[in-house]
Amino acid sequence: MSSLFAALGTATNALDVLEKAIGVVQNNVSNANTPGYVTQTPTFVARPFDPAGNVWGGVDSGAVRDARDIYAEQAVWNSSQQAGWASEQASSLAALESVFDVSGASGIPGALSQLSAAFSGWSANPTDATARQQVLTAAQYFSQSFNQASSGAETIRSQTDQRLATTVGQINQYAAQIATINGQIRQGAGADAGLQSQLYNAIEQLSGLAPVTVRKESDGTATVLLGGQSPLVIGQKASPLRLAYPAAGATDPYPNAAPDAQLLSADGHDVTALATSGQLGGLIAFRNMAIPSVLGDSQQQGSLNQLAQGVADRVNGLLTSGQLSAGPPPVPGVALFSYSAASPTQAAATLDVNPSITAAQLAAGTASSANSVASQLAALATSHNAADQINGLNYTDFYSGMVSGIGQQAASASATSEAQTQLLTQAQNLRAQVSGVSLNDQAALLMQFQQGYQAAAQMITVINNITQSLLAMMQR
Amino acid sequence: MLSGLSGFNPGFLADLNATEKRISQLNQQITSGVRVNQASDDPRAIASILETQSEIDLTTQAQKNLQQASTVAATADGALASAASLLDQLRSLAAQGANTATSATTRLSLAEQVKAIEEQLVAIANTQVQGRYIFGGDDTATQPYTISAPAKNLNDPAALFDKGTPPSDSESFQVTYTDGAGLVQNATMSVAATVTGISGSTFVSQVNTALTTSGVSGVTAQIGTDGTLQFTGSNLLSVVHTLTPGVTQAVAENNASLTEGVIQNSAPANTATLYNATGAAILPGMTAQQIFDARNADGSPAAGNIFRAVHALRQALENNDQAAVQAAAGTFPSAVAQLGQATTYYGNTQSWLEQSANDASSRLITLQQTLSPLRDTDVAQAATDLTSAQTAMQAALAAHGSLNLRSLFDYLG
Repeated sequence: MSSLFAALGTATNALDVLEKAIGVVQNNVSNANTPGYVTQTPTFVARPFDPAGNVWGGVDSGAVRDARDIYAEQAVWNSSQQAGWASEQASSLAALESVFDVSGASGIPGALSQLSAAFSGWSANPTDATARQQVLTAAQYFSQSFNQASSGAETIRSQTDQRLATTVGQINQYAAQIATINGQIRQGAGADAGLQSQLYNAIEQLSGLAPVTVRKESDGTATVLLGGQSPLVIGQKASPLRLAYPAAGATDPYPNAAPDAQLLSADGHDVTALATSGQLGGLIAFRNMAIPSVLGDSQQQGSLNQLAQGVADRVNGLLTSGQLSAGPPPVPGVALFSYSAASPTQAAATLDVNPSITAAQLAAGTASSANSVASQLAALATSHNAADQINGLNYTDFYSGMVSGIGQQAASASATSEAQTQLLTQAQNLRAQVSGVSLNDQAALLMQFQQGYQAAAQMITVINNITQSLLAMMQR
Repeated sequence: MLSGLSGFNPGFLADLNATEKRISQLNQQITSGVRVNQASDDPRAIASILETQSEIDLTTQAQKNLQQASTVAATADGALASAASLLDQLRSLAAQGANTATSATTRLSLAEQVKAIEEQLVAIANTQVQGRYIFGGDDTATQPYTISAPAKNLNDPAALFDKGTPPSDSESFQVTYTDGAGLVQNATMSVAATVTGISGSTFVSQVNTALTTSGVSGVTAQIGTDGTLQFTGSNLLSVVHTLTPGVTQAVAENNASLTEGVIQNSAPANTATLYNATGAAILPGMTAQQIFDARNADGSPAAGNIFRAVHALRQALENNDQAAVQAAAGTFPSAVAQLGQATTYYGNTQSWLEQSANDASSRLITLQQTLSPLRDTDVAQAATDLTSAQTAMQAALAAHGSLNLRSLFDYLG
């Protein structure tokens, strides 16, 4: 009789175990699309069984096993970092290249052509008032084209700063979230599949933003380092990053230039060099390299400013070398352009027509030739004269070099972004194959556990019937 | 195993996005007609595109300059043809006037006709195109010549010259001469204007004093038999007269009036060159002085001076001086030759302009042919690519739409 009761107890316990197993299956199905969630598999542990020793066995629930593969996770994190960097570079460079015309019909190249044409028309009619006025009008349009390009690039710089701030904010939020989860893990919730999914999802999102390395500690918490060096999260402590824009030093080549972006750790160390991937890395590379190549910073003037200053100085030099009248004394021509000489990195933004010049003050020629100055000016755009060039390039080629450089970077970043997106997708698919929830598998398990539950319940019914029979026998 | 709850995995969506981007790009190329809308479309082509477009713009402007110069050259050519016709008339009038049988009355009538032709020749010298004096040299804003008022003889003691407001006004002479060492020197001397003016002889005396004071040797000022101020001397190379704007009854203008019957309003240089599309240059025109008022190095009228010949004929007819008429008639062959040189000059200019215009047109065609494959869309290819991309997208969507989204759960009882 005692064995019957033991069997009853065993069967009842089996119902509990199978109920828990079914619960694991329903949790898997419910979280099939939860970011960071991996398949949980219930395990069973057989109890000791020795009928001779009156030990009647049974089953207990074992530890729930998760299918997380750390290598698959790391592959996704690495791909996220690269994809994030490339995506940010592609979109930022696409914005920057849209500032510069490449048709030759508008923008800076169009204005340069128009100015050259005005000089040419003036050279053919050096004393004609209309031709002179057309030079002033073309010069005004030329200045405005540089002002607009500079303004457009500055707007992109400022938008990049805003996106940097947003990205750093997001990084700090995820770091704080991971720190909170670490705290919960330390309090014993490490086996919680839901908490683990939150943790790994936060890490994956963080990977897209910044180049982080993650180390699981023995207590189950995650230590997150920026660039493998600077702590972001250690245990329950998050170390937020911040941005700074330090002014240029007085001894820098361009002390009045706009500052570069600097990434600082929580303890104030400059960790900008660690931001080599992720959206953060892409933004910092764009902010501190691509934009200054055009607009300048403390170390360089920027190609747009170089071009503005180069053209202005050459035009002014030629005009002031000319003569308005032989006199005596000879009256020289007047400079056409002005810009802020004290701030070379503002040359494009401040380029303007000399506000005090009149059409009559344009000197077309010299004492020996009535239109030599105007003729030289007409040929500036594509001149092979070294005095009409910047770094060995005529003004048109210099502009082309600047713009095609940006275009090359943009095209490369776009192609890289597409490729990295594909790689990320592959890594995510592989992870899903290894540790994702398969509804077919869960349905099969459910059927299995359902059958086991039904069998255990039937066992209880049978045992109950046997017991009833025995009792009935004893009552006769 | 992959979750069966959604048929749209990230890879599929990424591929869709890439296809949509390609479709959008092809649409833009077809509608704009331009293959390279931004630098990343073809970075290596940017330099060639912009350089070629710049050359097109410069060549187009050069074409406009050449067209303008052609108009001027054609007008000048026509004006010179008219001048040649007038010179022919003058030769005929001169022949009549030189006839010993011609009466004084007839000579006066002939003088009136010569005067009218003289005025027409000055008008030709002042020919304008679009408000610019085409024979003005580097100064196209100033009318080159004006018919002068009756001139005065410097020997006339009643005639007063060099009137103005002292001390600012004066009449000056820049003398170029060789010094004792044979070197070319320049000296400028001025005769101050006075309110009432001074006589011709006083004027000449002051000029000689200034020459001496300036250390100029071998050059002397005197009044010629024709009543003009003349500079002579073995060391003399040239003389240029200048005035301050406030001077009236200037000796320099009187000289011109006496000898040529016209006043030269400006004596500009002629240095403005015209460039064609390939950078070759030409001095496209001549000044009115070069054509009608040829001068010697000392500033005196040269043998082919047309104004001088015409004015001398008119004076001779007015004075009923048959010998002077004959002498004036003898200067016309040189005047006609001078005009012929100018006609030839403008003929050569027109040929150069026509050739340059043709070259510019050819160059533009070549540049456009260079630019088009670099920048413009191959519409046929782009349309084909677009059709392919759209078909691929539709196929991908249709194929993905037919994916089996069921799982085992759908079959459990």
